[in-house]
Amino acid sequence: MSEIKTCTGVFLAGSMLAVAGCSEDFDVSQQYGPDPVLPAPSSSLLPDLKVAEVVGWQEGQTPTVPDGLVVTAYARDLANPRTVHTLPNGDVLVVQSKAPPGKPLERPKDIIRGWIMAMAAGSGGDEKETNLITLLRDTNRDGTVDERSDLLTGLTSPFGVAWHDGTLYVAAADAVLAYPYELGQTSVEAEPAILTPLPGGPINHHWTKDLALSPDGRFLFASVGSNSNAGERGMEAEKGRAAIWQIDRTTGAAKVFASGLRNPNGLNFHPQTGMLWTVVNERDELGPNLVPDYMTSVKENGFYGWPWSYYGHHVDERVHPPRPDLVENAISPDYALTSHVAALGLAFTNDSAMPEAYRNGAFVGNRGSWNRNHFNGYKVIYVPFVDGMPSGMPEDVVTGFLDGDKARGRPVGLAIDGTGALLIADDAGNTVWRVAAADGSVTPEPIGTDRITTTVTETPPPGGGIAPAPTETLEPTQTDTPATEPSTPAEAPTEPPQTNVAPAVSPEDGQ
Amino acid sequence: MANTYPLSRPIGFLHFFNSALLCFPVACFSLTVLTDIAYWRTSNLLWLHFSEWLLLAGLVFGAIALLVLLVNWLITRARPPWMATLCGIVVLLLATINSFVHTADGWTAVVPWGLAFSLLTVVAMLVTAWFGREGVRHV
Repeated sequence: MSEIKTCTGVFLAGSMLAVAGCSEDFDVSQQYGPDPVLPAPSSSLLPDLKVAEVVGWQEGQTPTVPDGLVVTAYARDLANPRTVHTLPNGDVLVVQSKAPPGKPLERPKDIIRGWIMAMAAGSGGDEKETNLITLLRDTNRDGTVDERSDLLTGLTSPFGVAWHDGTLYVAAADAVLAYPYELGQTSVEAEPAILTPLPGGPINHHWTKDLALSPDGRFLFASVGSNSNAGERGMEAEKGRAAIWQIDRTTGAAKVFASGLRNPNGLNFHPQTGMLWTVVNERDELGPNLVPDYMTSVKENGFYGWPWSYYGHHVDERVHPPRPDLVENAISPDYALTSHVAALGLAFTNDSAMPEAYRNGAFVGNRGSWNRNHFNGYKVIYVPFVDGMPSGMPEDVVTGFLDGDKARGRPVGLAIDGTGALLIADDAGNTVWRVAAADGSVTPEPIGTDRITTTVTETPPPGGGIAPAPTETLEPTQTDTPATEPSTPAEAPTEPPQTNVAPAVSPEDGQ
Repeated sequence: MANTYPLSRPIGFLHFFNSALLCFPVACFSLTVLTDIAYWRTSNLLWLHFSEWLLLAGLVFGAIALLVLLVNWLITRARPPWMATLCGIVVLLLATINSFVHTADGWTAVVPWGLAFSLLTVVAMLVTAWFGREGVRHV
């Protein structure tokens, strides 16, 4: 108990019992960067809890941005916009969704948890139909939307999208779907093909599946969040989860690319280094300052600790039996973002039209905390990069989502739009915000969210990327062998074996 | 009709009802010790879930029993055995705290504090039974 003063007050009222663990003294900024200060886990009887009631934006209200930037509403009256994605022609897709229903009730605690999450999402009142993808078109590139059409409706809790070569890929809560779609179309009539099933319901605790296209256009990368906070539904429920999947775009063959990532979102390839990056929501209920969410580059076959450990070798005692053999190999992530901020969106700013100060780094959308006595998150921050790695302290860029103890909105997914400005999907505020340089500069031409470097700079990844190491089994449900050339086996079995940390399983096998 | 023996036979239905209700916390809180031990030995989360629901069920019926006792007291002016009642309330408080201990996600829900509270609750029930033995049948 050195620098953290932990005071615990116990209130007994009838059968209600509330424990308040306060640690106002903790300097949150110590948890930014590659080497965050990690206090000892604190065990209070009740998790620290402070949920912002969603009140929405009044007429004329907007988030706040620093000098040199302007913020405007790009699109309003949306239905829980979660992600924004810019197509190569500058059209913007807004993916709107809410959590799939029907999650089984396993513990008395699940009832209360359900209430908290519903409050945080602001599910009161509006009954607008969600689970759709809306196309926004800024024909004259002046930063305002000129055409708007609902491209796809009635989806199963979609989140990630990607487009390449006449196909629109949509990551629903249980599969990656492929729609024939040419740029410019404002409606899609065709039925989708299932490219690859992903671990889905009935639990589907962290249901948001994000997508990114590899710079050579060959693979899709899909994020699959864990089915629990810290493995408390048993490891059977975690097969193929807490992982990023690599999917062959043409055949749908898939493997787990990296694992131990509790709830990864915001998949993006760094425009300069070609590394895959993600933001990850770390675990709850270890105290207000544990565990910091983070952004990290993702190494192939990398294991990042969940559920057994965090930040390398910090063991989570709740997970039993312990697995020191796995913890030993756990990778510590690149850059901590402080605890419970709920980082869900990531956008690199290279080659954007943002002011110079924001042009080599990443914006991160922090949806905001519930498992803390003091709010954290509820803003978009900018993390400067040097040589393809985060460097230095972040800056709060878009704030004002909180109004006292109430939330006007909550930022989730981010993207650079067709003019080089930042778009923010605000799921509680039902708005997409546009943050642009105040001088009105725009990029010479649209840059899509997934940037294709047509010249493949490297040979395909070792082992053809999709080939499992000799001791592992490839997911059985996929369509035979990849149509691409047969690949040589990976040079060495990966450590720890994929069968231990994230055994892939198809939804059918899991149910 | 001055009742010197609190809650004795003539009270009838409420008395019977209360005895029946009190079976639930006694059974549930005792079984929690067993399910906690099962989780401790196996790490199978099924047993943790059993413990959580047993604690909840015991608490709900225990709270109703306490309420009935209170109503009984108000109606019949039959003062409940106060030491036993007090101990009964302690049992419910311990079980409430134990419920919150059991909300942890996994091992720390039971080892060591969950199991300790489960055992302590059973000890408190035995004490309650001891104080309740004289002149009354139920705990």
